[in-house]
Amino acid sequence: MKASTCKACGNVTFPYQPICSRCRGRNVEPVELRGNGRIVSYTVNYQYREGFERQAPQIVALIELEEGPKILGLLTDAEPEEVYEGQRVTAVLRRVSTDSYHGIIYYALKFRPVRDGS
Amino acid sequence: MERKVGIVGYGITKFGRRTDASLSELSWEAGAEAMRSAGIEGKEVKGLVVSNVGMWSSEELPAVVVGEALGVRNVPTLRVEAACASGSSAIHTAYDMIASGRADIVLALGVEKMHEVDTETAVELIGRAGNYMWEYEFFGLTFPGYYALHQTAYMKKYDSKEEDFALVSVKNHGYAQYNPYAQFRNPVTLEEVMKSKYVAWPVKLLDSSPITDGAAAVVLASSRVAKELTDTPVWITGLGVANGTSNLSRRRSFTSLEASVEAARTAYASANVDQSAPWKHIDVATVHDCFTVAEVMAYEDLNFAARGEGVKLLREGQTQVGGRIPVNLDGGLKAKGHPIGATGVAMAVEVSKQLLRKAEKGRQADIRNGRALTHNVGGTGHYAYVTIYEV
Repeated sequence: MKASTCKACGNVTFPYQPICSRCRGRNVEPVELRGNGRIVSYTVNYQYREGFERQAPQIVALIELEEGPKILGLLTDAEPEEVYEGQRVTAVLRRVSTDSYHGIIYYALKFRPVRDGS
Repeated sequence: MERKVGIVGYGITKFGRRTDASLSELSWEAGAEAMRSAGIEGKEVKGLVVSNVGMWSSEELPAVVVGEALGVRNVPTLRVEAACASGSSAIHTAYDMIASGRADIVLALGVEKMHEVDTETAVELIGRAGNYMWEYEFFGLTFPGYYALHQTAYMKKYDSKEEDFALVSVKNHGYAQYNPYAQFRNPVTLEEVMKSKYVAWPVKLLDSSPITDGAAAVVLASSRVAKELTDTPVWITGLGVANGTSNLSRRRSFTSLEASVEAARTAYASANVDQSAPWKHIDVATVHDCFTVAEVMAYEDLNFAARGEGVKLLREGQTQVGGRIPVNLDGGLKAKGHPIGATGVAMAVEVSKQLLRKAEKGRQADIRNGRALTHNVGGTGHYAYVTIYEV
């Protein structure tokens, strides 16, 4: 997860862009985010789009990463009843959708709850 | 110095599944009624602003189609878009054309035909109302999910539960039964709302506005022409607009829409309405209840209630006729329906009827100050328009 850190104001912008999203300064450098954060809010989505049928219902969470930026992400390896605000999560690479017509499988980052011992 | 602008005529179609009428025919229904009530003909209209989101629509150039249907020719004509706030953007654009002195009579018309595609396609298209790459493409999140994130955050932060939000649906369906133009005229009970299926937890089907076809139109005129046309113009005295980040995750709050707060502040200042207790000066309001949580957040963003007390206002019935400030007496987006490009104009039609005491029996507010407010949101606070009307 590549972001940019502003050397002038310290703000972290995700995804990476060459201009700081807070002070508009250009003195930024790329930084690799660790992928750890906490859930700010979440929903269990019962609607689904083509290609997502087998994953419904999906748990979608608004996550505040420990470096500062907030992002939207899918939860994986979690049941709706065990999710809560403030829960610690970490990014893992997972399959997000499949295109059975073209035979393409798409992978992206999802977030897995951090449990004791994991 | 800006010129004063007022509404001198309005028209609206029956909302719902309107596969019986084309975009042109729907626009004619609302537009011809608006011109008839203003006592004018198409050739007197000197500007035409059409709001239409239209991603599902077969008409590529809707403003031209509307002009032809209504006999409005050789005038500045354009289509405007601000997602679900498109209708308000049409009214604000028409206002600017008149206030600047460019025209004396402008027609603002909103129209949407969402049933030209099936529900799945509509859900997919509406889901893109955010940041496409970072919130939609990989996550499959649909539009109710964006508001669900707000409701979850609200329930965590303030003393409230799903039943509190369901009260919005019960209230708005209750008033829609008296509105002959509404899509759903059936009252619903708290139990029915609570038992409806989850769309995106904690948002249920009966917390959600429907897919709707419909059109609404208002004729706007400069003060000089307005006074010639009618004894009862409805003046636009306050306007506020703001925009938010495309990316929901870049917002500071998830229990409020910052764009609504900012639009309300500007509108109250321009209409000289008390920022801290605006409800003392306003008799009736329409707010953007695309989901029930959106109405609760609107109460607080508009300062009808303090932070966290929007649900209390509902529990006490303060947003019904006779309460602190009656809200969505036309049934709201929830029950009247939400043809997204037409909604903002339909709100202007509704507050005009309310201020002129022409609302149908059972849903007329007490008009004491002669002042009303419309609040229209595009996306999830991507756009917010607040407009104040006076008689």
